[in-house]
Amino acid sequence: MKKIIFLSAIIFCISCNKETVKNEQWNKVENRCTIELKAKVDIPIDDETSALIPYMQYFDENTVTDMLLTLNTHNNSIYFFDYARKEFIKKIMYEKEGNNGVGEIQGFNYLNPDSIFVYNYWGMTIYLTNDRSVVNWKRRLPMDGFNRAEFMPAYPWLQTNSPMIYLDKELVFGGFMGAETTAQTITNSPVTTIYDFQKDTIFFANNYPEQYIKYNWGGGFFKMPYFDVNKDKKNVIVSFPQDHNIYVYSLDSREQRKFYAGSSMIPEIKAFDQKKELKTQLDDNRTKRWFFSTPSYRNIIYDKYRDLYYRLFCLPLKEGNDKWQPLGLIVLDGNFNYVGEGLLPEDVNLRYSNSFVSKEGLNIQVMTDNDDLMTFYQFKVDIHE
Amino acid sequence: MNKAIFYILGLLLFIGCQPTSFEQAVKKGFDNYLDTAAVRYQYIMLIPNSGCTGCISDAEYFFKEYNDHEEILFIFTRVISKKDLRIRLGKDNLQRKNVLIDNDNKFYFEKFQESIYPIVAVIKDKKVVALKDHVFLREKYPPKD
Repeated sequence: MKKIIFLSAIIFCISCNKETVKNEQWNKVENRCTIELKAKVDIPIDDETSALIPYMQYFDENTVTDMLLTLNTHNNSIYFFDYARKEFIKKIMYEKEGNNGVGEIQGFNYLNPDSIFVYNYWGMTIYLTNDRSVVNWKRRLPMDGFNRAEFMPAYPWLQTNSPMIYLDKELVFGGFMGAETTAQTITNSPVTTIYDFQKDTIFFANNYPEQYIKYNWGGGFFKMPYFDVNKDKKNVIVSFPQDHNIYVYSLDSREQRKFYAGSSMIPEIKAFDQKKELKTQLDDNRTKRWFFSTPSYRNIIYDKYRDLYYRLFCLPLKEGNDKWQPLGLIVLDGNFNYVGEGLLPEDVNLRYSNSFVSKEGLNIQVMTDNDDLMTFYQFKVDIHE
Repeated sequence: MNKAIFYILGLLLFIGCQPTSFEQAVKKGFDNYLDTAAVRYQYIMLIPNSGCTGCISDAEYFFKEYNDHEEILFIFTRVISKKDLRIRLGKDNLQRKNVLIDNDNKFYFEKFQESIYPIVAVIKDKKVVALKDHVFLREKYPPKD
């Protein structure tokens, strides 16, 4: 009998030590909002453009309003659309080689017709160009001097929800650490790169939180963080997929604060069940299966029109639909207080990586059977006082 | 009792006939297809769409170089966007007789890890005699650049 009790106690202890990140605020916050689908936007795209767009930027500043810019990697062009009128305006085609060559564009940041930054991932190079695809200057990010064994900053990786953003003479990038390694520490794996192109200096911020040091999260894109900026407050806001909080980094004070931004539908996130090693070998199929059966967080987006923050999250794949995960939305106010959350439509494939905010609300791309349209759903958030 | 034995044997037979490996699944799928194919192919290259926007795999490069070799059947499976495939690989290339777009994902065997990688089948007399890594064909069809 004593042996049975002892064995049960051991089994109990082992099961309690699961590698997991608990949501400490689970069911402790009040949901004060509803999320409504308000409209569908269909924009015709040409024969050279598919709806699988890797990078887009919504631009609504100064005298230029409601403009959507998209990257076409097939012809190395930036397309301009009038989002309100749902029409194509023009495209800028870039040379890959030569004096005005920019290589293959991975992402860009449009400021005005004379200032369009484009980024080439393989060359880690930024080009300042204009809308006639002329290169004004180019700068390679000074990332080479670091001892990668001791300091492992994430190389910038650009997609719509991990963009390149110009802010006050600096360019802000996000990236991720591909490896799962015991060499990673709480201070040697930052994900935000801040580049001062006038001084040619680089600064890193926002290390992976401690659960990424302790546990294995499948490596690669499975632990890719997302970010946005609040230009007025000069903050970079980072969302890690396996963290119930967001991290707000001030470009002025260079300090970071943490705020709860979790979902009541995610009580905990269990890590991948493999111990980390110096060079961890990962089974692609197993990590993929684990990732899609585990909840995780995605984009963080600032809504400058309503002074709100939106954070997307994915729930595990449901039986009967192994193609896309249920998607939800968390809403925070301008001071990062939790306001509420809700699930988004599950009967459509929401390509959440392409999301942005316009005057009408939150726009998320939808994949449809019509290859000649770029389609978005527009959502509006109502907050109950 | 006899009925129960009959049903159990039937079930065992059914289970026994299911492919237990990726190689078996691919061979069975290709053999069935080749039975009804008019053309005598020497090779089949099965290319799963990676879904990675902007990615073009080694197999797709090979296709771009050698799609006019009619002894090779190219099958594109798990296609995320046909338009994207057309833009990447060329509309005319994809309309060739030796190209099959697997709209129903008949040749995508999701339960097997190997399904995400391209594979080459060596064909003799309309039967698969060997399965090889996709780079196998480079010995006979080297890169043109």
